[in-house]
Parts: sequence; structure tokens; C-alpha cells
Amino acid sequence: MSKNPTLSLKKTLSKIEKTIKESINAKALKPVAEFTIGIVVKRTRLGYGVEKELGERSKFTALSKRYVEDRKVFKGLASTTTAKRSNLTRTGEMLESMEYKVERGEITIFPSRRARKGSSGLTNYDLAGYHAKGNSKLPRRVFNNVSSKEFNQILRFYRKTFGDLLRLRGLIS
Amino acid sequence: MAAKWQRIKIQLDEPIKDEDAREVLGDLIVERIVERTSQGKDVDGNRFPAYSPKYKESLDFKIAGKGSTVDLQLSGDMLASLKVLKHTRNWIEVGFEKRSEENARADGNIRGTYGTDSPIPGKARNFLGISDKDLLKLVKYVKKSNSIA
Repeated sequence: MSKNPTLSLKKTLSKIEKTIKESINAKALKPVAEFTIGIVVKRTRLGYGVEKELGERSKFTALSKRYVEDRKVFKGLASTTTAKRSNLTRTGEMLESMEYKVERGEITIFPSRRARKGSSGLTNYDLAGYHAKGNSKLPRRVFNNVSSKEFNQILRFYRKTFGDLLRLRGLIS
Repeated sequence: MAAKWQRIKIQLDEPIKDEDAREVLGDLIVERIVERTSQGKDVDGNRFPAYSPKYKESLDFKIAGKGSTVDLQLSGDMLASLKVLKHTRNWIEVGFEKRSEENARADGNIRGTYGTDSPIPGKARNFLGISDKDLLKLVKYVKKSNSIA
């Protein structure tokens, strides 16, 4: 009897489905989240913010003369800034506190909701919120967004991670 | 002096009629340039000239967590902006958007000007291009994947 000439894609499709599921699970997205935090923190420390999601980066408003003078005598200034540099860094705590959450294939990155050291209950999350909102005395400085060029970097990184998964499953060589 | 528009036209040995296949090939060329640059190698596979001691001591260098590999990445925006500009069945052009900030940065690296009018001797870091060997590999891969002629 001749062999059934029908091609069944059941096995292949199940492999693909498994790989896609894996590619959006928390474990697989962890490196993407960490990479994104790295990009956002680095750009902020370099002195740039991103006003809206997938927008362009722009230089943060310069610090006031009075605040620069205050920073010159402040003993705890982080090594990732200078008295004059406007990069949302004083002690460095806010940017160092960045965390992520992966839920249902979605990554969220945010400053920690734990209280800042030596403060009266103010959290890094609150502080970032104040900067993002701004007021008459505090210029608006938005950092927790991804620019279009940063998106390209993240996409490239994700493609690489996804490609590794496909190779692992033997779907590409 | 204004920055030159940095783009390169890559000639194909054999025409590729399929537009999608050319798009894929263009993307792969961009990926290859980024990958090779990240490894600290120029168009010819040679190591880029080292960073200046002054730059190495800068706060930006420290913030970016850069090491000894010259990978032309501070924020990463310049290489992220490299893209396919145009393509026909005979060539693929990759480069930067004309007059963009990233084009100016790429021009500084490629010609070694870094904000000055004339190139600084020994500081040109030409990353824009692909070797014949790499191109051949990519063309072969695309033809195989797409079964195109």
C-alpha cells in the first residue's frame, strides 16, 4: 500500500506555537526588559529625556544657578553626574531603582515604589512623577519613555533573542 | 562645514527582481553593518582607531559603560538610525536620513572630522559598507529562503 501523500503541519505548527508562547513569557522577556531599562537609564544620565512614547529625545532643561551652587557643596553627589549636569541625578537613587514587570506579554518599567533613603516616605516612583509633571518651580523632565530610535535598538535585541529561540527549537539553522 | 550625506549604494552581481527579497536583503545588510561595528571592526574588517584618552576619561564614556572596544555607540541612536534608503533590482542603498543629527554623527566618524572642518588624521572610522564576501553570503541566504531568481 502506498504511503499517504498528505503533508500534515501539525507537528511544525505546534513547534511554532510553542516558540511564540515562549517568546512572550516572563522568562524570555526578562532580558528585553533589562535591556530597555539600560537604554532609558543611560540616555537619562547622558542628559536627554523623551517627552512622548516613540518620540524624539531632547536635552533636559538646564539646572538653575541656585541649584547648581547647592550641588557644588552637596557631599553625596553621584559619580554619574556633575554639579552642572541636568540628568535627573543627585544621589543616583531614582535611576538605580528602576524595576520591571512582565505580565501577559507586556513589559512595564518604572522607578521603585519603595521609600527613598532618609526621606519622609517619598518614593522614587513619586519623585519621577513630580519630574514628569513639573510645576512653576520645577521644569518638566520626562525620562520614562522609549524614543523611536531606542525602539529600533530594542527591536533588534528582541529579534536576536527570538532568533535564538527559533534556533533552539530547530526551526531555523 | 555641513556634514556630507552618508549613504552607500551596494551593487548586486545579479539583479533581484523580487521587491520583498530586496527589502530583506537590505535589512540583513544593515544588521551585518551594526553587528560588525559592535565588534569594533570597520568596513575592511580592521579594528577601529582607539578612542582618545580625553574621551575615555569623560563622564559620558563612564555613563555609557563603554570598554576598550571601539563600537561607535554612546546612546546607540546612530547605529539604530541606519536603514535601507532605496533599492532597485541592481542595487541597494543604505545610509542615514539626510541632514539628520545621526547623519552628522556618522559623517564625523566616517571622515574623522568630529565637529571640525577637516578630518583628524588617523581618526576616520569607516563603518558604512559591506565586504564582497559578506554580501555574497547574504544574497545566497535570501535567494535560498525566498527561492527567487
